[in-house]
Amino acid sequence: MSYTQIDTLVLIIQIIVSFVVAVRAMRLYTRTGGDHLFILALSMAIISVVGVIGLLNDNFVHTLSTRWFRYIAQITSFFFIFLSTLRPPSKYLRLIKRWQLISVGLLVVLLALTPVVPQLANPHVEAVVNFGRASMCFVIFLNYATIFMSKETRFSFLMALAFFLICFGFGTITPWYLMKSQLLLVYVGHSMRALGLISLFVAFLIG
Amino acid sequence: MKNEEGRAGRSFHGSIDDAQHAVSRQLMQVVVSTQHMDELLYWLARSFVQLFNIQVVQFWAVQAWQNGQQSLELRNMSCQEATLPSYVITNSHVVELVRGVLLKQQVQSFQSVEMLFSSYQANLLKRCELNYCTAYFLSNNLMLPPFNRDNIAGRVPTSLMMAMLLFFQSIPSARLLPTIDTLLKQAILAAGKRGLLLEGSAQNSMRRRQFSQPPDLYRLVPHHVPNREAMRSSNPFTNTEPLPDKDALRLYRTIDGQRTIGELAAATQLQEKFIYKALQTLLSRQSIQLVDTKGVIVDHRLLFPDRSDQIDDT
Repeated sequence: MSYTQIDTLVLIIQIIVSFVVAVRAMRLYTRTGGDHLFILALSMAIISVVGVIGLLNDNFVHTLSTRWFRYIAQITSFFFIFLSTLRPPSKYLRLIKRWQLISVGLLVVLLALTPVVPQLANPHVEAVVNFGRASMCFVIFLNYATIFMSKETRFSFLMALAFFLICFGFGTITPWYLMKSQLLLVYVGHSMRALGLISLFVAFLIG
Repeated sequence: MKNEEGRAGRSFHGSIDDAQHAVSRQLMQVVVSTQHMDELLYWLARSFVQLFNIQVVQFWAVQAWQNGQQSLELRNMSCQEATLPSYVITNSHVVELVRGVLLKQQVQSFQSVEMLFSSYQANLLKRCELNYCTAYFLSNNLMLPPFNRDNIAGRVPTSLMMAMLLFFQSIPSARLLPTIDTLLKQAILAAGKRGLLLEGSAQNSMRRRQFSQPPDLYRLVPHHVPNREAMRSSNPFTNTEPLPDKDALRLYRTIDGQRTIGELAAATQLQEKFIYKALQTLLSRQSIQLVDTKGVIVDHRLLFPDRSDQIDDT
């Protein structure tokens, strides 16, 4: 399997998992009004859109500079998922929801600007941005690991596992941006990410 | 190092003292505006949970009936964790402990839950981080009026015999338990003076007692109570039940923690009976709580009398 094929496979898993979770969360939100469901739905929807754009960009349209959008959108989505797990009081949850809507607006602007945004050509910058994604996932992993230590629930275990795998998936790929010949890093990184996404799906399915 | 520990110790004791003074001070104001003993118990339970970092506070009382029988009733409860399942803390194991306290008429010393409950119940409590427990016994010559004013259904005022059960996550300061004891005694004394506890025989007391109207529902402000464990320890999809009532969902979405029920009724254009039903739905699911103009949380059971936590002891 080539690098592009593995990347495409991971993106397809990402699209399916995040789309299913987003639809389910949004459906339940319309019937309960729970703000944490709205935040989850919007975050997962953005991650799904990131997957679709990545898939199109990598396989069909190579000219657009979508990498900035893809990295920033994923980091902000993970950040809002993290915020919603901090047990904020209801008025802050509402505030988080408002900020998330504003961030989505800004992301749409960034997406619209992809034809004019410069390409993410510097491998050092790309490695740093990718490391940002890994760091955000690591913070979420730590949060769920702490919750699991005290509550010992299946959901917190699966979420901790999912974000651990996603984090190390991103983390493993980071050196590859600087050493493009080390394809093994890509294979290992993408495999971990795929397993992480499947764990995330299982967490929301049976957790 | 010792100095630091000393400072920390003084600071913690200082915070207990501050909280005690705050409760004492507020108690006098709350007692004046309170119309029923259960409102006072609710306020006490909330205050203890919030100010002393106690996970669960329960008030259990003996309730006498016209036919001479007696039952044990959970009069009020407050939990730090709104999503704590009620079956964990309101079950036959807990009732057994309370019954023991009431029979022995003495305080149950502070202990690990493993020492007080069966291993099954202890594990259940520990999973919810309720690791320690203690119980106070309260009695008085005054009579405790029945909870449900509108539908007392054979209940009669009963000599005050009450147990306050406290669940803790961790071992509290040694000064906390005597502080709570002092505050409880103050509260009972103040309730007696205010007439929240009745004097004399049951029938005469009931005749003498003039219950006033509950707080004006339309002037209360509803606040969301988010499911704080969703997305943390529990799956939000399996732990969130859809609202069966469209009016309740409509009202829930309009609640912003600032507008009163009257203003929300105008905004949603829902008729009074639908607002009433929607509020009952939301309150029974613990999706919202009602707060009065002074910012005090109102015991909704006084507004919507519907007893479901009575445990028969006959």
